[in-house]
Amino acid sequence: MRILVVEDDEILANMLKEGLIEEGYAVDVAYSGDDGFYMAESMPYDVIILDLMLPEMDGFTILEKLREKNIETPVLVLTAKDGIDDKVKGLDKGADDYITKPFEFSELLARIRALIRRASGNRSPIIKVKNIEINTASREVYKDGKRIPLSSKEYAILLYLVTNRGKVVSREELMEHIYDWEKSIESNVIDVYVNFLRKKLNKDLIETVRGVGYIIRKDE
Amino acid sequence: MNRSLRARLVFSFSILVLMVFFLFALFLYLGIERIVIQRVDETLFDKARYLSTLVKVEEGRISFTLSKIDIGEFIGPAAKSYFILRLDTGEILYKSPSLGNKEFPLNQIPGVGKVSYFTIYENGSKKRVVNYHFAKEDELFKDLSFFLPVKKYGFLLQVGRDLRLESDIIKRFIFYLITLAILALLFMALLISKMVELSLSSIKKISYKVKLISEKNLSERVDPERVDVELKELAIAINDTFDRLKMAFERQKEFISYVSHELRTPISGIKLITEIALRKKRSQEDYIRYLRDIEKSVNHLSRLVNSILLLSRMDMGREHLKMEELSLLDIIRDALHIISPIAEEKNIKIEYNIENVRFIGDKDAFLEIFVNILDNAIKYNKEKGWVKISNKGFEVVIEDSGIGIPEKDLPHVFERFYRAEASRSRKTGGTGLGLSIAYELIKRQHGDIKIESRVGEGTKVIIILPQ
Repeated sequence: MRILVVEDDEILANMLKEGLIEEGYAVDVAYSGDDGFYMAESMPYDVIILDLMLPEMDGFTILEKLREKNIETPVLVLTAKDGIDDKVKGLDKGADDYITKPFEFSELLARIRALIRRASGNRSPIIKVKNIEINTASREVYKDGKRIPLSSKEYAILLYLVTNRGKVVSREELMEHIYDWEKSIESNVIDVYVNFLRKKLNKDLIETVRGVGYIIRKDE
Repeated sequence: MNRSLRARLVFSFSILVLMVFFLFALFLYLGIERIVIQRVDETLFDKARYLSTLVKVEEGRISFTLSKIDIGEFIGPAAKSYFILRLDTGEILYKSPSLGNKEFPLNQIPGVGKVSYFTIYENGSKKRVVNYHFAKEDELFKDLSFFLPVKKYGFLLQVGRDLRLESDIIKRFIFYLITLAILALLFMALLISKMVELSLSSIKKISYKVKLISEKNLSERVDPERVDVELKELAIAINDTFDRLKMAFERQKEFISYVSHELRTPISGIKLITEIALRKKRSQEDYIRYLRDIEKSVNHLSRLVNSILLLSRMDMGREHLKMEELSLLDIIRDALHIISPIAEEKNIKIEYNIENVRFIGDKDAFLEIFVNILDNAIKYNKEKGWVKISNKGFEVVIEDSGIGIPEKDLPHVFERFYRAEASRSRKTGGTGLGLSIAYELIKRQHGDIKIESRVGEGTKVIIILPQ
């Protein structure tokens, strides 16, 4: 899952990035409103964390312009103002959630997970496919009730395919959602991780659609 | 004690009305009394003239006969008229029986054919008396006047009348007058009270509105068209006051909202760093990196808090400036001493060409002003740029080769937390308060500060020292 952080305070932005990467997300950072809008518009992010007071374009404008362009990426507004007006305005302009500075990192993570779940149509943090069970809150994966340890990239690929289950996902799409801009990798890296997942979990869980990508089918 | 405007107005109006009424009544009373006395005098004179015709002198014998018609008037217990006939020497010839053993005093005797009047006050009753001085010739010698000089006799007729009836009328009149006065007074008091209430209704309207204008509803206003013309100015003055109050409140609210934003962001940073650092065991390098970031945030916070405190102290007028004679050169040198490490780090050359002047000001305040401006000149400069300080008397110019300030931002640079686009990124570590502080400090000391700038060419700050 790939997250865009739009925040002009460098220390805060960089620390958010570091913390989120540790949690297995791919993270890009924009320090100004203009950069933030450009990035949000050009990359398919799963969540955008948006500060409201920004140099150049402010947070409200970014939200408005994104929604105008029908970009439906969930937006979590990060605000330093605790006035009700700002929260209402943010939500009315198309924000999906907000959190007030200073915040607890664990709360931020929970809200990000909730936004991703909601976007994929899952209400429960536990997703079951065949004999595999994924707890998105604790980031744990069970096969027949037995815990299977996964690397963060394996987990990221599994999570993306599971949240989009029933839909064919191309290698490019997977890469866009799993890696940030700083890393350039070969697309066969994805194939390698998919093979690891098949070995660790279930041979038939992830199917290859030749020439297109991968799919996890919905349970009948 | 409650001071009631209405009570005071009613009281003073009543006193005024009472006084006017009293004076009016007094004049009326005196006027009526005068007219009544005049009428009495006329009848007394007529009577005296009539009585004088009854006096006859014949061969030196004086006779006086009252007709039967007159007797009823002068004789008997119910008689209200009196008279005394005297010789003009004062000797009493005849006294009307109604006088009993009393007599009228004999004061000045008027000239022959003339009258004089006087009033006697006698245990509660008043008598008006006329003195009529007349002469009679002996009837006998009248016919012989051609041969002999006629003998003349002088008489004084004093005719008096009781004024009891007139007094009664006047007394009754005064009673009516007083009753009327009391009624009029009550009526006036009521009327005045009503009038005061009417004239206070505008004030009531205003005070009702003013009550409505609380901290939460500062936009409520008194409509100057709906109060009396006399109070329009008051309404306008009240509105102006609330306008200013509202503006001050809004500025304060905006300032607090900025302060809260500016404080929350570095605090969030620190909180996030510590939370992430403590999530798991990390390498020593990571811990050092985290601590450095925390240090940066804390330094920024303390600069910010100091600036905010300084500004709010100035806002409340609690910043005491110690005025003394200062040397411009000393201040510039002290400022450069503080600022030069930052300049060296960014490879910026600072030149100064100062022709020293002495002025009155607060040393710390001026140091703060120059450090803030030099700090900006360095922060928003190009790599290997320059800063020049020069002066013409009391006008000090600080020029830089920096990035400049866009024209649209220039009018706002002294506003609190205003950042021009280029300086918005927190990379520069500014608080957004430096120029506001410099502005407030210099204005407070009756100096001035101006800023000129062109994007890409540099910025020129002109400080006018107080003289």
